[in-house]
Amino acid sequence: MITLTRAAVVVAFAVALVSGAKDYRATWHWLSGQRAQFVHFSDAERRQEPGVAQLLPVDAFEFFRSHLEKGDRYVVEAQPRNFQTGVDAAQATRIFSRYYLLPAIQVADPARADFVISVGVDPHTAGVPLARVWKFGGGQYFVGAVRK
Amino acid sequence: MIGLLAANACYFAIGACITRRLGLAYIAGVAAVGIATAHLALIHVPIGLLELVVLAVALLLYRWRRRPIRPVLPGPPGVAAGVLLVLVLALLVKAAAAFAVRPLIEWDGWAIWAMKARALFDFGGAQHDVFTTAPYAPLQHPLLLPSLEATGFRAIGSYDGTLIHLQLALLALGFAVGLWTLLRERVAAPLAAVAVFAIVTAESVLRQLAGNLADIPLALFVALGLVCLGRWVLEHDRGLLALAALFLGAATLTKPEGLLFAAAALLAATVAWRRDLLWGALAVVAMYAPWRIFVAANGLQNQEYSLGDALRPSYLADRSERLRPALSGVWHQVWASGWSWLVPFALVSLAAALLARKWRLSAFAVVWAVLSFCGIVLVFWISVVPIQLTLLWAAYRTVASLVIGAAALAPLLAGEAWRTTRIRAASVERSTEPSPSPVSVASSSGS
Repeated sequence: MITLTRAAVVVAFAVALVSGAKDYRATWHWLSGQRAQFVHFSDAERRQEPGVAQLLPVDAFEFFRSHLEKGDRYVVEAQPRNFQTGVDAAQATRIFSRYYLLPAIQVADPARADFVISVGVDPHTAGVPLARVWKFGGGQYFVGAVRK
Repeated sequence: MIGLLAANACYFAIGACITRRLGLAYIAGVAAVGIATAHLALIHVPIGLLELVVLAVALLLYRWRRRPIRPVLPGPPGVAAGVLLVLVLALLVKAAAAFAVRPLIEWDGWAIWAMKARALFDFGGAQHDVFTTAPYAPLQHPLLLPSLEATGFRAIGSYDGTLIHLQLALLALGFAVGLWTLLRERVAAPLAAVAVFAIVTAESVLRQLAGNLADIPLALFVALGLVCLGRWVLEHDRGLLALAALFLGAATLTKPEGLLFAAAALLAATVAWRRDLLWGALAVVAMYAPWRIFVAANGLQNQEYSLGDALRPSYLADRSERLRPALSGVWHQVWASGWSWLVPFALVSLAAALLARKWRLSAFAVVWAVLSFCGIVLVFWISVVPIQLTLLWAAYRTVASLVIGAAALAPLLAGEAWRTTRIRAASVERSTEPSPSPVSVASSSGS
């Protein structure tokens, strides 16, 4: 029994050693690749990468952001269309907005909003009176200031 | 970056006031500060570098005046273990270099964790729409990781979604040193080192960590808590139980599943029941309670599942078609190639411990692993998200705590088996040594 137990411990040690050795090179190469891929990114590219990686129109979100200040409340109006498995485009827009547009705050109820952000739809469809609407030059993206 | 490193130096100093084991000081400090800042965020008390420095100096002065700190360093590793540890260190330095330039990419990394961290940095606490209203769902994720990262942003002086990845690399380093320290005190250096080597190099560990998701930080806390508790099962050392409570408490505040893994560990530890364990469990509950109160006070619902449904046979029966895919999906992920051979390592080590009749430690490991596995399957079973989607999105990372925890326990199991064979071999040798004959004894005493 002693011999068998010792053999099991030796096998366990060997398995762990092979396990580490087997993945060491791959992990090392992956880390090298990650650094090589991103080391030349500018600060702006790094900031935008979460959206770029998801093929979201980050320029439009820069446009939205330029109209919002800390604490501003906005509602997102977007056309539901296919985006990726389990997430439609409207949902993706809302989720990316809540991260990228911080420290402005997303709300669900247009009545609580200071701004309406719309993608592919007229911002007036939010059903709140708008004092002014800005259109992004690169597509159907709008920011509407809610009349208070 | 200097601010972030200074904050981490404070974590180390604070940890050194919690434990005399210098190798554990950093990760214990991270856990303690993470827990404290997560709770303080609930009452809108932001912690920055100044507060950390003041706290660290005050604690060091208190400890120095009350009882001089006599730090304990882990013993020398020897050549074989030394080589493995150097390889681990080299990989973690490489990881830090990559993490420092890698932006946020993975969906949940920015959509949940970085978003919450940034909001804590921007608004100073969790009494805010970002943490309590539907547009920011899921709201049920506790705040240890975002709080830690928000503390880092305050130390840096601005939000930096890239640089904060360095915190994650430091977390991995703290885990590696902490695990080595805990294991080395009990098992042979090569066995302790090879376990650290196998876990840190497994492809999924650093890949998932780079994504800024909380699953690997959770797994690291769970693994350290498990090893502390496993050693408590063997030694009944109250200091180890306190450390186990600290790490498991941190786990409960890292992700909702942390509660499952911590509860499973505490239940498994009843195989070596002592009243102390109750105090350990109460400490974990006390660390978790403020978050639970916040969740209840704000009516935050987990939109994916309710644990209460797991107790309703009719609900489970109605969703019985999910059980089989959940079971096979989780099982498949436990054996996924990204974890290298960590699971076989754990299983062979368990076999060695069983052969050596180390029943108590083996039972602790088996009960924890089985409860954790069943708990993960149960969560996928009762979830309202379509089973194929939730398995695709979450199963590969939900099993991290199970795999890494089991691998961290493996050297304890194998080490105890080895120790037992040495003791038994020595006793066999003693019993088979020829005893001196009466004649020779008489002649020698007569001379």
